[in-house]
Amino acid sequence: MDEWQVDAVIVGSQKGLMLPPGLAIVSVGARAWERVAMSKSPRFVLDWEPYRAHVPATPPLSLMHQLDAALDLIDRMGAGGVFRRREEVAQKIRALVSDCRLEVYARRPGNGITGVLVPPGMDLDRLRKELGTDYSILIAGGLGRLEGKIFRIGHVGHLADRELDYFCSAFRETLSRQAAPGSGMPAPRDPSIS
Amino acid sequence: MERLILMLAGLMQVPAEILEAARRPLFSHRSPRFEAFRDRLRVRMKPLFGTATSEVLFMSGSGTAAMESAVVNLTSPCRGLLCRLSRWTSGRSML
Repeated sequence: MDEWQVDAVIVGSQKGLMLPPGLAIVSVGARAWERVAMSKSPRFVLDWEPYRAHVPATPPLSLMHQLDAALDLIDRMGAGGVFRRREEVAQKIRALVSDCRLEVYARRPGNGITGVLVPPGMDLDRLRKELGTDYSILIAGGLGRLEGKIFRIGHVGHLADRELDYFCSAFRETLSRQAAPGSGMPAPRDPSIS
Repeated sequence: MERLILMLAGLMQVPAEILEAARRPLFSHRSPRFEAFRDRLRVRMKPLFGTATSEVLFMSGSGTAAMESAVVNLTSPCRGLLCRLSRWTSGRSML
């Protein structure tokens, strides 16, 4: 924030911080506080001012305990270590997508989530359903104008190697089942053949 | 209960040690103990925000609540607001 001269940043707990949902965190700089004093918008529980020195609403204490534990984990990895791990996981996911003859949606994809174009012939509902019922893996669909056109594989949180490997093989297997001759869907490349 | 592997856009895998931390004891939020706990977390969060001077606040709510808090605290009705419609969620909040 200081280096980029950002005045306020908002965060939800359920993404990179690896917590369950329900804890909202905001960081407010001096220039933003001047704006807060000028703002005439009606507000009560979301009014920032009382949070500075007081506890105006019941805080999500268990989530704050979990944030404490998450910060221990982040401290142990080091901030650089966390970003390196996210990049390593994202590269593995992008390699998987390319191996499966699919295309990443973004021209410059980030390391937190990978959007993948739905190719002609793919039954996206079936893919998501089978990943869920057969492998207990949940991936996300597209939203708004991208609904049905892309699906999204989220990996901004903590993923152990065995979870990542499990996902990669489940994804290949599920896609292979759809890629029957005549379906129009390309079959994933055999990972054993390099 | 079946354990799911979450590779969604929002809910993510929660590591075991973080899940376990939810079992830590609850105590009154109207107490010096809570204030010391909150203040320690504020200090720990600052490097993540890349700031030495900003104030960190914790509220109950989703990221959407945090976003609305930014709008109602930083703007006034009938004033112009420049908003980058980069994602479905940002467009949704500005409708």
